[in-house]
Amino acid sequence: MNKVVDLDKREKGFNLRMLSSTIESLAVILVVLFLFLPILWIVITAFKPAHEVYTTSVFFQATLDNFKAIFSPSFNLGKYYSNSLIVVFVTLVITIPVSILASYSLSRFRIPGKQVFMFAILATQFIPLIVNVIPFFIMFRNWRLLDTTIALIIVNLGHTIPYAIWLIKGFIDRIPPDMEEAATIDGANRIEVIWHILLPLARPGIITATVFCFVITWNEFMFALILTSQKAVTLPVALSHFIGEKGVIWNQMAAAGIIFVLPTIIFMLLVRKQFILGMTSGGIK
Amino acid sequence: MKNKLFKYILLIPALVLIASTTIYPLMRSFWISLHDWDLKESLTIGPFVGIDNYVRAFSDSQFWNSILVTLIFTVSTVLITLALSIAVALLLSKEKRHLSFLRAVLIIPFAMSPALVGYSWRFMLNPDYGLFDKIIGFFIPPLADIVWLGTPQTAMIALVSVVVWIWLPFMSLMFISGLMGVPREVFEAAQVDGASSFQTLFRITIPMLRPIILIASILMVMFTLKAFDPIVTLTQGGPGDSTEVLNFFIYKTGFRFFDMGYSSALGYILAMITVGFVIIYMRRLAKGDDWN
Repeated sequence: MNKVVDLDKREKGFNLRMLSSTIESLAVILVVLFLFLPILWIVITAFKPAHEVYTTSVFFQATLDNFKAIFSPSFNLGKYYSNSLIVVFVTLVITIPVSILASYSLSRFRIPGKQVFMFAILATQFIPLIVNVIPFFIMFRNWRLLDTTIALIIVNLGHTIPYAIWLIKGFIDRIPPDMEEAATIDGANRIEVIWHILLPLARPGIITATVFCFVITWNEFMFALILTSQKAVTLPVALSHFIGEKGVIWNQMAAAGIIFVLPTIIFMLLVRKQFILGMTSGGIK
Repeated sequence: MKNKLFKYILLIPALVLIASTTIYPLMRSFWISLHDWDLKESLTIGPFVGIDNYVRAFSDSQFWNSILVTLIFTVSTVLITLALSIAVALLLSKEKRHLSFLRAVLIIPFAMSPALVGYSWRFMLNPDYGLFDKIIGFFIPPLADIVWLGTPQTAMIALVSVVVWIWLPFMSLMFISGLMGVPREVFEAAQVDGASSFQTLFRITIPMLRPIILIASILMVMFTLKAFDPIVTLTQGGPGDSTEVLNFFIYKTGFRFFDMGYSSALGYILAMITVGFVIIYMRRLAKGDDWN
C-alpha cells in the first residue's frame, strides 16, 4: 500500500518535472523570438528586392541591390560613415589617455575631495544631456561650428570621459600597487611606471572602457540630430534620410542599418565578459 | 614635493575637459533658464526674468501632460524590464551548452543603435505590412485591426515594448552574472531542506540578487528618464502628445519652437527630478547598508 502511494508520488513528480522543463524550453524560445526576430527581420529586409518589401513573405530572390543603392552617389553612405568614424576616432583618442591618467591619479594617490569628485562626475551623467546641448547649440552657432564633426566631438567628450574614468578606475583599484612600487625602487620614473607596468595590467579595463565609449559615441543620436544638418551628419541621423515624401524605403534603411551596427556588434562580442564584469563590479564596489 | 605636483598634473587634462564640456554648459543653461529668450527673434540672450520660466511650467498643461506621460512610461518600463530580466536570467543561467551560447549572443540587441531599433519597430508595427502586426493579428484576432502607433494607449504600449527590448539583454546579463556567482551549494541545501521552487525563488534567489536589483533599478530609472532616440524614431511624441515624455518636450520647446529660456528651465526640472530620485534612493541604500 505504502509502496503504491510512493510510486504514485514519484510519477507525479516526474510528470511535474517534465511539464516544468517543457514550459521552461517554451519560455526560452519566446525570449529568443522576442529579442532576435526583429534583428532577423532587419537582415531579411535588407536582402529583399523592392517589390517584396511591403509583404511579410520570406520566400524571395535575395539581392544585393539595396547595398549597392546605399553606396551610390545619390545616398552616399560612405560620407556618413566617414563622419561617424572621424567623430568616434577623435573622441576615443582624446578620452582614453586622458581618462587613464586621471584614473591612475585618483586610484593611487591621496587627493582631497576625491569622493566628491567621483560622485560629481557621475552626477553630471544623471543630468539629462539635453540640458548641455542648449548652450552648446548657441555657442557653436556663434562660432560657426554647427554642422561640423568638431562640434560633435566636443559634446561627446563630456559624455565619454566620466564613464571612462569610472570604468578604468574600477579596474586599477583592483591591481595591487606592489609591482609599481618595486619598479620605482628599481629606478623607473613615473612615466615609465605607467607605460610599462600599469598599462599592460589595466588592459582589460582600458579595452572595456574603449568599447563602451565606442558604442555610445557610434550610436549617439541626440547631439547629431540637433547639431548637424548636412555636412557632418552621422549614421544614426542618416537613417532618417530613407524617410521620403513617397514613404519609407525600408529595404535600403535595413541595409544601411546592418552596415551601421556591424562594428558595434563585433566589438561587443569581443569584450562581452569584461564589459559585464566592469559594469556590475564597478557599480557594486 | 614632486609627488604632490605629479598627481595633480595627471588630473588636469580630465578636469579641464570635464569643466569645459560639462560643468560650464550646465551653468550656462541654468543662466539661460533665468532669461526670456526666443532664438527666432533675437540672437542674444533676452531680459532677465528670474524664476518665471519655472513658474510658467507649473501652469503649462503640456508640461503636466509630459510629467504624467513620463511617469507612466518610466514606471512601466522599469518594472517590466526588471521583472522580465530576472525571469530571463533565471531561465538562462543554467549550465547547458545551448544556454551558454545564448548568453554570449545576448549582448547583440544591446549593441544595436536605439535609433535603428525605433525605426525597425515602426516598420514591423505597420498595419499593412508589418511583421509584428501580422503576428499579433494571427494569434490574437481581435487585435488584428489595431493601428499600433495610431492610438494613445497602443502607442505607449509600443514605446514601452521598444525600450524594454533595448534594455532587457543588458539587465539580464547583469542578473545572470549575479546568479552564476551564487554558490550552487546554497540551492542544493534549500532543496535538501525540502524548499519548493517558489520558496527558493522568493526566499533565497531574489534576496541574494537584492544588491543587483537595487543598482539595476537606479540605472533603469536614469536610462528611461533620458530616453530620447526611441521616441523620436518611433512615435515623435504622438499621436497627439500621448507619448511626449518630458525629455522630448524639452527638445521640442528648444529646437522646434526655439524657446531657449523655457527649454533650459524644463531641462533643469528634469535634472532635479532625476537627481532627487537618485539622492533619495542612495540614502535608502546607505541606510539598508547595501552600498559598499
